[in-house]
Amino acid sequence: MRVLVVEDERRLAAAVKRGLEASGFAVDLAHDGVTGLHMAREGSYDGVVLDIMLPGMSGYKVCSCLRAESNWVPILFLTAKDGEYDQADGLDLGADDYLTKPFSYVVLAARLRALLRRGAAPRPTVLRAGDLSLDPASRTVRRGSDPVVLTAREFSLLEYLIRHTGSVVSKSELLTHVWNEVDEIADLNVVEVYVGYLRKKIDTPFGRQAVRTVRGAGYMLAADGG
Amino acid sequence: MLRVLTAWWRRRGLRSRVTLTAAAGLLIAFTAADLLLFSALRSSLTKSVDDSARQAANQVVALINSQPLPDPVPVAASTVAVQVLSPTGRIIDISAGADRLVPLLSLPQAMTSARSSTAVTLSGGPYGLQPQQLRVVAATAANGSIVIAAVPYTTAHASLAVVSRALWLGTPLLFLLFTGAIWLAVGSTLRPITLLRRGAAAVSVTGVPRALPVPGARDEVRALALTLNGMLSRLALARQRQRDLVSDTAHELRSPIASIRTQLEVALDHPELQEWSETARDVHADVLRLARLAEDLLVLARLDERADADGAARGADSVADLAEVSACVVRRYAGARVPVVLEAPAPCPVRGDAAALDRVLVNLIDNALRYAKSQVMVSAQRADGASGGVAVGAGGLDGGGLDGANADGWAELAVTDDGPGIPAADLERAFGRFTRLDPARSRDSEADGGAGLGLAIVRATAQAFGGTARLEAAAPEGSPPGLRAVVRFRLAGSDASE
Repeated sequence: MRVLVVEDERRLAAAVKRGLEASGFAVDLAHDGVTGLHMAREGSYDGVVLDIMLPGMSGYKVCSCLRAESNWVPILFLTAKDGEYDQADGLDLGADDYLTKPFSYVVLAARLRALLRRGAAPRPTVLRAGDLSLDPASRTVRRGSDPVVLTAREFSLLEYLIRHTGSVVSKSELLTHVWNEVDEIADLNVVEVYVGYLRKKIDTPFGRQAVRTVRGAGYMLAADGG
Repeated sequence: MLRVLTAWWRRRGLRSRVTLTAAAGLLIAFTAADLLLFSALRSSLTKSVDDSARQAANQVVALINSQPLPDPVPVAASTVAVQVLSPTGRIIDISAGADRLVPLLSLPQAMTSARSSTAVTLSGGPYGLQPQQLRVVAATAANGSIVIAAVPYTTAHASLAVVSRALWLGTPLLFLLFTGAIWLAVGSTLRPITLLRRGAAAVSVTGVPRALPVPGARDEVRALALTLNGMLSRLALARQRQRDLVSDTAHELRSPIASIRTQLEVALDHPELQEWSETARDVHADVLRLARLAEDLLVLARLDERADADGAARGADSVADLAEVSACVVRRYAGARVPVVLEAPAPCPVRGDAAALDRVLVNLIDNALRYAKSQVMVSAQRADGASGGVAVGAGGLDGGGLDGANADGWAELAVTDDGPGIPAADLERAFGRFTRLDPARSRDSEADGGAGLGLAIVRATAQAFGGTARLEAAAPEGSPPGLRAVVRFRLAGSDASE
């Protein structure tokens, strides 16, 4: 497994490289953001350990550039910045894990292994189906460039559908994943009702048909946005 | 008694005091006005009654003088009673209704009254007239007869009684009304202050800038509210800067600590990967970095503390010779990358202590060495007036000392390099704590940036001793422009006061 470590503290980087190599990884080092981004683009790494405070280009920028280019390499942020918004922003940019300094080396190695297990499937932060886009972090939905206002329930419904784009989702599955059965009287009809609301907001005003009914099976969100 | 009263007075609030003072004034004013009104009215009424009595008497005198007096004496009004006396005091004629037997005034009284034209008040009862107050005057006729005329005083008396009652009723009412109005008015004036106080009480412990309510009226209370709001904003800003500094500090400390920790953990887990001596050397470098950072922060904290100290504490400063300290420091750079040259022609005693000056020099020379192309120049000498800075107040070498900042009281330390310099926009920013202008330089190498505290310490040191620090381009037109760091210290023994 090949790993890229982007860290400007040379002694720390060297120690991490030594340790990871002893654990069986092949490790490349970069000491600034620009070189790190370049190497991440050119090489095919199984994982990237990325510091945030880098000379040249910040780790945040490197991560968002990679994700924008649909580069889904697992990224672990390693940084002294531990503010809650620093962590939240880092993860919402598309990183997969966040470890603050000073850290336990053993934990770093374990988290890296966990990252690699997860693999590099496309995991965009903003979910898309055609021109329909849904951003779970900011809770916004757009059709093209037009914002669509949804209630919390409608949003959750659309999120589930869009995560299972292309496959059929049954009403009971929707009920389980979107509704909180403990609180409310659950009835499959309520799913129908809410799908109706959703269609009225994302399909009807635009003359599209993203949410399709599959008779006897459930619903499906068209991958091209209808 | 007086002491008790004074103590009680002092305890009274603003509102009570103003109202009580105003009430006392009102009381005096009302009383005086009432008395004046009453006596003016009384004398006016009395005068008109006297005048009518005199007139009646004079009419009868005229009658006597011109012709024999008829019997009874004719009088203009039936309320007037006239008695005519012979020069001996015997009644010779009366008007209808007057007493024929007893003269109203005795002879001497009559003569006095006639002479001085004054009136006397008598009760009519004993003289067979209506039991009422009379005003009596006398006049003498040409033939020696004395005319006594008496006019009733009742109407005037009644009028005065009415006025008196009205004043007795009305004045206390008015007094209470005015006092109440003043009490309310003062209360409403004080209301904005109460609101301010409540607002201030609500400002939280962390001084979250909640603006105090500013009243609309353009007066002192508004000015107070605006000033307090300004103060709260400044405090909030200062607190935010402090929080930022603490957060930046914690952050900066983490990096070397993480480095040390990882190096040791890896070495412990895989001792075969590296010689322990090599590990120890690397960790040592990081420990030194950590130590230097901690030391710098401590220095800054102490300088901050000192900067807050009052002038008296600062007055007991030690004195150090800038030239000598510079020579000492420059000597240590004998084997540096580029030559470090010193220009210190004369001893230069300044306010400051040798260790602090040493640190300033080391920080500046280290910075210069990083960027200099061919040499670093250090100069330590007295400043002449033309080298800028504040030069106000009485001239002369002995300085008047009144407004300080006499150009002759300064020494200047300048460290110049011929490197790439700093853009004009960053010349001031460079002094910020943890500000590293060149983000391309990493933090951990000794040859490179460091944590960004060097210039902050230089400035804080200068200011702690009453001086200044600034950066400027050494040769603005030249290429490379180079950089000069200028630190001014006050000459020891100068009269410059704070």
